[in-house]
Amino acid sequence: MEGLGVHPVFVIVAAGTLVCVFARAMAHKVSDFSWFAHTLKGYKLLPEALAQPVAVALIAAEALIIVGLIVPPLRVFAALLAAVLLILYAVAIALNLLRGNRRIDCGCGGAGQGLSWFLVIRNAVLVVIALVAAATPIAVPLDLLAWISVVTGIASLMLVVAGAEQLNENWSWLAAADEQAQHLNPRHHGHDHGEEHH
Amino acid sequence: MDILSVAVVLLSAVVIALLLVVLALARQVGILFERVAPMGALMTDAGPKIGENSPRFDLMTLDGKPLSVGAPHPRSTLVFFLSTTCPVCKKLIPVLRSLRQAEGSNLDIILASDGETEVHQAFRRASSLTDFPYVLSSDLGMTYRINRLPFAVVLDQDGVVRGKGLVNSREQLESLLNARDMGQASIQDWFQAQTGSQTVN
Repeated sequence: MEGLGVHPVFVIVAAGTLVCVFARAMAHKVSDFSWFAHTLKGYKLLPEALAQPVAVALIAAEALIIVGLIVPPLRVFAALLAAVLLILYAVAIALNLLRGNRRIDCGCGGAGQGLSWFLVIRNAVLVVIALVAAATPIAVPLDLLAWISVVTGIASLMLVVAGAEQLNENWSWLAAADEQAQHLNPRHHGHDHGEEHH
Repeated sequence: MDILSVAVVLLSAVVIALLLVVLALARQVGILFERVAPMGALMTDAGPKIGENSPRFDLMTLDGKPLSVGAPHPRSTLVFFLSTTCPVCKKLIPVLRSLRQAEGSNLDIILASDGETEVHQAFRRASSLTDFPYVLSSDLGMTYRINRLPFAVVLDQDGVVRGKGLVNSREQLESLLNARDMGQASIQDWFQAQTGSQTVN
């Protein structure tokens, strides 16, 4: 074996997973394009006039990544582009988290999920997967078992991604409930009918 | 196939099955949160109280039509306060739409916010809200002491406040309208009425 090489199964699983992840992300963005452009404005990192063109560019980049990961000669380029895009998203999210601007739509699809560090970690993990997808595989023949591993590997990773996102959504429900509780408690101070508004 | 391959295939199947179970569990927890969390719209005590007459506001919609809030009106009014950047507001827009369909001729829905006209015009187009009257008035928001969004106020035909509160879900929005129908300010008040006045603190 050639020491540093990666088994092709890993490369194919990584690329396949990224295709699924980006296809999902892109479907969300395309199906609700005007909202996606609006979400970009929420991040407050761009001049508002640029939101629309940047939204188009991001969707185009995602489409390019999906196609590139499937077409073998473009794989390395697409995987690296995916890594760059994921880092870009992570930085945008991290900047807004540091600014305390967490109550904006993350634009990850679904109904209004806020920002959280989980999204940054998720993107970091996806960057690692993108780097695996960009690696040069060693030349070994793929038998039936290898292809079964590819299919089950992609399916497992996608399920992990979906499960983690669901847990993140649950967590934002919990956070919202905590906030509501804090909002409700001051109300109990002298909540009798004598008190009028001032 | 040798035994090792068989084991790998079997284990892969088991892993996928387990992941499906985990996903289903997580989803169920999420649904539970959605159902359990809303205990009726959250109330704030500031601003016009339930049962009081709303101050009258003569406003202009973004379409340039005059609109009065708080004046006697043939139908009840739901004033929905939103902002262009709040995710929950986005989630509730379809709810508003279905609410309008369900309540039909009994309810007028008005969207209210404040800020720059162009920003709101763009937002309104982006989220296809052009079929709702949309007013910008910082006065309206200040009078109702709105500090959290999305916030809703229900006024009856005479301009009397029948319900108001922070709304995060369909259930909370509906609870405000139920409050109007039942004559209870909020589900919290209803519980309070049921349990007698408890002394907290």
